[in-house]
Parts: sequence; C-alpha cells; structure tokens
Amino acid sequence: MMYCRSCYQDLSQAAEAKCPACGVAFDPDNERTYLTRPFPRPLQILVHVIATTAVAAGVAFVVAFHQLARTSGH
Amino acid sequence: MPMPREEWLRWRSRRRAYYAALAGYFAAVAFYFGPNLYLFGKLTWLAPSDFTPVVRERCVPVVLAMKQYRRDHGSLPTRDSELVPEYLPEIHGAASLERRGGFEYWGQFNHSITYDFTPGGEGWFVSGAFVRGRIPVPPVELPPAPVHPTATRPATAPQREP
Repeated sequence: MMYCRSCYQDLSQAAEAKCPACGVAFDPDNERTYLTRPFPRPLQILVHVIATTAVAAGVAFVVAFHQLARTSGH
Repeated sequence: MPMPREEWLRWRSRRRAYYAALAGYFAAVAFYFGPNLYLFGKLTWLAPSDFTPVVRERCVPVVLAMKQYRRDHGSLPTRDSELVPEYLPEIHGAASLERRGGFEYWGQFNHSITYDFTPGGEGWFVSGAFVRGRIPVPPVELPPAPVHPTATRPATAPQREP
C-alpha cells in the first residue's frame, strides 16, 4: 500500500508518479517517498513534536513578555 | 487495491486525534507552561505558597522582633532603628516597618508581603500583579516570656485560721 507522505491520499490508483490530490511526486521503488500507512512515520512524529515545542517556546516567550509588560505598571 | 472505507475512516480518525493532541500540546506549552517557566522559573502559575521560603527566612524574624518590641513598649515599632540592634542584628533592605500598622516586604516579582497584626485575623498575605492571597505560614507566636522563679511564689505565706 502506498499513501502520499503529504496528504495521506491513496496512491495505488495513481496514473503517474505524482499524488493526484496534492501533486507531491513519489517513486514506487523508493519507500522513503511514500507512506505504507496513512499516518505519519515515527521520525515524522518526532520532528512534529520538536518543531511544535520550538514554535511554542517562541510564542511562550512573547506571551510571557506581554504579561510582564501588562503587569509592570502594577 | 484501495483500502476499505471503514479502515480509511479509522486512520483518518487517528490522524485527527494525533493533530489535535499536537495542537493541545502546543497550546499548553505556548500559553501556560512556557510563560510560567520564563516568568517564574517553574511550570505552574505563581501561588501564595511560593512565598513561604522568603517569609520564613526573612520576614518571620522581623515580625517576631516587632512583637517583642510591642510587648516591651506597648506599640509596634515604626522605624528600623527601634529594632536594630536591640531586637535584631539587621533588617533586610526589602523590609519596611513604615507601612501603617504593620510590616511589609517587597518579595519576588514585585509582590508585597504583609503581616496583619489584627487579633483573630493574624497572618501573612501577598499581593501583586500575579498573585494575591494568604500565605500558608502560621501567625508568628511570641515565645513565653521568661518567668522569674520568685514571681510564681505567693508574696506572703497563707494565713492560718485562728
């Protein structure tokens, strides 16, 4: 089974080596270019968590700064 | 052969749960745990109990000295010089006795720690931008005054009935 690594579309019926939904190319001979199940790979999950943490840390800094600025006149 | 629809829907539900969990994680870090860590050095919001160490270490000795002063002079001191050096070797710079009717200490995050000397309502309070409330430290109790051994004896021997 092959699924698009970007939008999880089923690629088994794809007429060409491109996702019919989002257009991301894949190579049927290279497992790294598609997913074998319609769910992120463990490595993708790790990347998602790290990226989410990094972005959240940046947002948290802004939120903390805003709270500090709001309360500094107290 | 395409995946059966039921299985496809199951995987879609799993993906949605996964992205919802990721969004929840983001919100928790960005709007609660992260700001708390930046502001207070801990994951949770500031609480009155966070002021307990500074109260025990820096405020209790001053209030104890103030109470000893009141026992000896009948009123609370209003200046540091009334306590130092007779009752205390020194008073921390953040502490103030000039607050009307009591004690005030400027603690972490620009919060004011006060002691209420009102009988029946004695206790520690914190007030500031991030937290306001009663600090869970018991009221300061004066140690019993040293009693002179002769003070407990009756001045004269009881009279015998004739």
